[in-house]
Amino acid sequence: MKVQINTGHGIISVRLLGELDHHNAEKIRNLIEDKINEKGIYHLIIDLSQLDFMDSSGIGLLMGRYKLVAPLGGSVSVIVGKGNIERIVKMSGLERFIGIFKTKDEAFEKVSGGKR
Amino acid sequence: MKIKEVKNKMKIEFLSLSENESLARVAVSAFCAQLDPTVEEIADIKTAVSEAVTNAIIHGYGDKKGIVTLCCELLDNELTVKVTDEGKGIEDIKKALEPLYTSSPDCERSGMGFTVMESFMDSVEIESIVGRGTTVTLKKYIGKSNGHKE
Repeated sequence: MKVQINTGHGIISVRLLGELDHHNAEKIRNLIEDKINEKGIYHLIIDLSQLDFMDSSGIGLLMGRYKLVAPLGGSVSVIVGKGNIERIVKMSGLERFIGIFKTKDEAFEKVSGGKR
Repeated sequence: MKIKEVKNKMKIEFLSLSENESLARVAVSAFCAQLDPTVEEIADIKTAVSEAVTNAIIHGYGDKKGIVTLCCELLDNELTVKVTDEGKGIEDIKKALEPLYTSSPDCERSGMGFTVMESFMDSVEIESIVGRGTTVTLKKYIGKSNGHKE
């Protein structure tokens, strides 16, 4: 499991590679929260498109980050992945809280208002 | 009436460590590879197995450690996976099956495990005795998407 985190333009961008399950979710959660605390940025874009596998632990991770940043005026957006990952995200009803995008450009456009 | 033929069987026991969630997924997907499943079928099976094994580790044993048993059988083109723990059992199975219900809200569980299993497999059965443990039985017919019918 690899995690790449970048910050800029008031956005924390998290790219996940490999397999996201319950075992890896806690590590990723800590990395994201450290970055939020360090930078004081509350808008997250989480890129699931390079994941080879994700189960419902990923939904818990996304929902948990939404609950953290939403009261602080932040947002969570997701770039959906292949096959079952998109199915699980849609099945969860996360769309009510989290912006779901097909591409990185669409997500950044929406979150930064095109200021990237 | 055609008698179904047992093509293969596998049994693995492992400690209830989260590291073993990926081991279980890989083992089951390698086991059913002999039926030549599609990429989608493999993804469905891996996801469902991951949910069942994660449940056994988190909800079955919690902070304690115990043995999770994974039994797989190929009967003609049907894969059966049984995930068994000897943990605390499920008090209210009907409630556990409700989408978004979780007995561990503090652990960031989404409560979607059984919903995902039911959606990705052909059948899901749960047997549980409080204080004794739980067995989740997952079945999937391989080759359905290729128009193969019994």
